[in-house]
Amino acid sequence: MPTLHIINTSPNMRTALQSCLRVMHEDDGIIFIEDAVISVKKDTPIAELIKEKILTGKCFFLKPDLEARGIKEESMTQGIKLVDYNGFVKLTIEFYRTQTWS
Amino acid sequence: MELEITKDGFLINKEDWTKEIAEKIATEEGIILTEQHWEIIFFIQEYYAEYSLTPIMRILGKAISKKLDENKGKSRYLYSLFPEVPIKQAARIAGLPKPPSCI
Amino acid sequence: MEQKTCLFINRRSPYGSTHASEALDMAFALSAFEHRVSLIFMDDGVLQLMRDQQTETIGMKNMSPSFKAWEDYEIQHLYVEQASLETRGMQASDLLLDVEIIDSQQLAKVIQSHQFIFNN
Repeated sequence: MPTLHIINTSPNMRTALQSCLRVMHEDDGIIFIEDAVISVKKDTPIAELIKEKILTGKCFFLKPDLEARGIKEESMTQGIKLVDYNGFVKLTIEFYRTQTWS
Repeated sequence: MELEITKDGFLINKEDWTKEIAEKIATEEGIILTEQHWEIIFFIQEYYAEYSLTPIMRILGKAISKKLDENKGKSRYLYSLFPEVPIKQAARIAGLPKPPSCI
Repeated sequence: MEQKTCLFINRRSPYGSTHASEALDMAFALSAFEHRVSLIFMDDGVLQLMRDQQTETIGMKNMSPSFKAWEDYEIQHLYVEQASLETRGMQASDLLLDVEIIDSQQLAKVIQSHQFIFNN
């Protein structure tokens, strides 16, 4: 039962991302929203942490939260996928269930 | 169309603001708007557009002294235009949110 | 009222909570009442100073323009911790203001030199 994991806290301030990555299945997806969107920056320790997940093509970031924080596309890790609010809703339907990590 | 306002009478959407609405709010505040009033109203609107905030009295006074005229930044002058609470009254007439420093 | 030296250690991202904007209101208020106030940005707090923040789509007020009023409010210093920028793949040119970028040892001295610390 593929799960969409939702991360909404900063990887620098909490361990939600690390814990989630440790236990997530290869068929699962992961979406970064709110304070978690800082994980998108390339050439950082966090980028290293999520690089395998990015290769699966199931690593998503919520665009409005990136824009709010002034994070530009050229500073983002390659291979991630940006979604808007509608895209987010579609993902929650495509996956069997969602799981939020705060 | 009904204007959306807070319980203190501040506009909820600053885009709704027009000079006519300003006149109406001023009347409620017991103020008849003159050239001098408009100058201060436009000043705080510009300040808000740049900094997204309504400054407290002392800071506003300083900014006015620097950019408009030394004497116009003095609180005596601002009180002569907006006799009760200058910042609060001017912000309300200018269609800006209630300043955080006002009760 | 006796003048105090106050230091705000801003460690949180701007929009995930209201901590950041409330700390700024408080810093400006203390400074307006003639206390000597400085701000440190470290950890995710450095994100508060990112250029080009566009908050329309998340329905929150953009707090970043208010930082530009720091001189009007006579804020003494704006410090940013170098290591916090690096970990986030950021550099001075990503920031909307000219700030003092300092290392962790210098930051320790700054903290030590203040009477009141507000850590948020």
